[in-house]
Amino acid sequence: MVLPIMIYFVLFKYLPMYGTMIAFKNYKPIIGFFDSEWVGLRYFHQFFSSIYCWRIIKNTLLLSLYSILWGFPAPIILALLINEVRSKVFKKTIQTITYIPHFISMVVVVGLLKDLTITSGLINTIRELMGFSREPLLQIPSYFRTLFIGSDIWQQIGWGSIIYLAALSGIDEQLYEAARIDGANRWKQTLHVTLPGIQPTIIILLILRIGKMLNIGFEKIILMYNPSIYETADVISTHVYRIGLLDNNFSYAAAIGLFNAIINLILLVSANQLSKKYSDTSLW
Amino acid sequence: MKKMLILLLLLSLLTGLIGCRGEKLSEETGGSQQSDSVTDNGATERPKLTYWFGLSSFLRDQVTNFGETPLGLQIQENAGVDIEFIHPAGDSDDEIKNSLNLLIASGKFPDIIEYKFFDHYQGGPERALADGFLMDLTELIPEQAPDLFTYLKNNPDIDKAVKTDSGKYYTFPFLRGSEIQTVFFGPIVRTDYLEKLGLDEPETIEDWYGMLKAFKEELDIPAPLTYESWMNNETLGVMMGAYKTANDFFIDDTGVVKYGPATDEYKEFLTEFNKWYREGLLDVDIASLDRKQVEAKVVNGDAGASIGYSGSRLGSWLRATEESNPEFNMVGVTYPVLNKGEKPFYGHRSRMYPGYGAALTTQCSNVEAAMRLLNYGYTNEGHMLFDYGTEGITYDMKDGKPYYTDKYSDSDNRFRDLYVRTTSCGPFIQGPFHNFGYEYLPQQKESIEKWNYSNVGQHMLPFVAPLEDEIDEYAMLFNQINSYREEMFYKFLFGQESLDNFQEYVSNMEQMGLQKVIQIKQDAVDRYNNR
Repeated sequence: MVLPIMIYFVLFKYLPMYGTMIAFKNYKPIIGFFDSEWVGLRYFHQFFSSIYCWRIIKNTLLLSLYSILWGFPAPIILALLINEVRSKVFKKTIQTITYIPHFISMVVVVGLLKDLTITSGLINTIRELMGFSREPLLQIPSYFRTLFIGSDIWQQIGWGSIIYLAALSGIDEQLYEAARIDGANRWKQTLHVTLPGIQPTIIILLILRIGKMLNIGFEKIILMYNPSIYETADVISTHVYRIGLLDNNFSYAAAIGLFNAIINLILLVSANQLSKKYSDTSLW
Repeated sequence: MKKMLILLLLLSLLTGLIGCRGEKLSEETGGSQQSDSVTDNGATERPKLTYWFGLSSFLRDQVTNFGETPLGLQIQENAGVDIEFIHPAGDSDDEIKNSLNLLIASGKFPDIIEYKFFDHYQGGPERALADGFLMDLTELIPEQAPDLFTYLKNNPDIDKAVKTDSGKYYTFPFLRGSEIQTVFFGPIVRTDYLEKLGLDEPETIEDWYGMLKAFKEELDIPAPLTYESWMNNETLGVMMGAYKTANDFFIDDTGVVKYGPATDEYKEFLTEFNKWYREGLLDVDIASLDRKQVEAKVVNGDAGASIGYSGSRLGSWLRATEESNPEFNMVGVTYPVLNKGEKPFYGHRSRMYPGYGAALTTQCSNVEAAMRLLNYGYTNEGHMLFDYGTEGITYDMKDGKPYYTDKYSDSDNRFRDLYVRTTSCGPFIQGPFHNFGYEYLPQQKESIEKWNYSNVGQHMLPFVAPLEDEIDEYAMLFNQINSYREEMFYKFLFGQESLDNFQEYVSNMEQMGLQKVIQIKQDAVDRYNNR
């Protein structure tokens, strides 16, 4: 019964891995995989000797880190808050309102963001009312991460909270009762019953998230950035896009992709090991 | 109830899937379906060819295959060939590049391909020939493409441009019939504002400064000069030419190739531009504006001057405000200079041969038919078809001269592209009349004449490419330098980096290999001149 799935994985996931060899060759589509010249670590060397290497790795890591730091707890907090609400109508309304942005195309969201952040835009108007001066927000490197992660949270918080709400509903009512009898107030209940109750869900999702850490949203950055904020906005994938793909430098892009994937693998395995050590949950 | 909903959902999913596949089928057989109906009345079998090129975005929502358009049918009829058109998905440069790469990787080539071989094929046409992708046409063109060959012999400069460095022919090129068609981009100014302020059209940088300042202070315009942020690249040369430099490689008055952003004159330009930015004369958001935002500002009067194309910017802004704001008037002005009376050093010019054309692949199944088909575009009849379309529908003859019909002049490319190819590119020579049929507003004609006035022809690099073995090195070095240049431009412009550090910026570029890059370009230019 498992055989078809096994075949699928071998054929479509494992076999094509031989294509990664183009990271070590000077791949020209017209010559093909096997006849392209072997160059070994040349493209890796090129990448690491670029003056931007440290900056783009730093940007990628920071963006991912902040994204997890702020973006990961947000849906959990929302789920906890929604869970506390008594009124069913209010609950449903909030849920619908918060997860609708998930369905808006990223291109539209960035378009909105661009119009809101220009000097004459709405966000700047609000800032002015609060006493700050108007600034072209997408031209200031230090604001980029905030805008990127903030808009991400706005878009994904509702959808992300769904899975936590599902997990929350699975917590045994009797545990809450027991806690109340022991004299726990709402806050203590949350800390000692709710959070441990959804702990497995949180950990699995966290591990998966960490495994994607270096794959920071390439399309969104490309849409949002411009040369004046490369300092904080240029990440590994956008850099490789400009340097590698735009000139059909497949091998360069493949080499960096391989580097990316290896780092992700290391992070994933480490996260899993740590999780196995300190809790009962892990991916494998 | 629930079961009904689930059933409905499944049905809609299925129809979606089938719908998609159906489209794809018609895309590939659309051409041959048409050709089947045409061969029915011919006694002999017409040769069949496959033809790959990017379908214009205006046609995409109307047809799935070029073979369905009146022009597509007419070409097959006139040239006596059945064509199966194949179109890559997407119409942005990058998507078409991607499609071509996939095509090459698949190993199965169509008979004819239209593409911008010069700029977009890595390694250029010489490489495409060496890779065994395109067919060498050097022996074939003189005999089998007589009309094209005659034109090239009569225009030796063009002949040089369409060959490879080693003198081989590889393409049926898209050519502009006259110099004036290569100019269509430059600075544009609100002339009604100038009238209000009693100013003349600006000629020198000083004039510009005065004008922008007056816009800001006397008319309260928030963004006196605004333009789309991508124009901060090579096209900014239209403003920089005043300082006798460019935002790109250029050839100076002694014939030496220089890189504009590393010259001292560039520093002078940046100093001035930085002043404009600090005094609020340049749009604060200049690094992040897109087309729609700029259009909104211009049309609403939040800007007094911009940079753009005569058709898609100036033309559409004028048309957008025709009724809502009859006072609105904009026109292109000459590229600025430093001292009154000088002729602009640099500016914008497209090329007579922009690098686009049709070519035969090495897997072309019927060379004779393909040559005949592609040569057709250069005959008189072909020229009329591609440029003017169908008599009676898109043009009429008056006193032996063709004039566009009202239906053509009043419509946009959605209609035009069904009958002509002159609105974009193709294997033919674009007639000079094209511009004046398309750009009918007097302001546009005036703009083009003004923008035509410059010495850019002597200073712009010809279309050149590095040698085979230089390409990888060139690409790696230059991409870094270009990225650095872009960032530093904004840093200098916004004042985040002091212009006192300009020398450091130049030596950084030197360290990144600037001299090698310039040398490669210089060699390429020398090879071009010796073709």
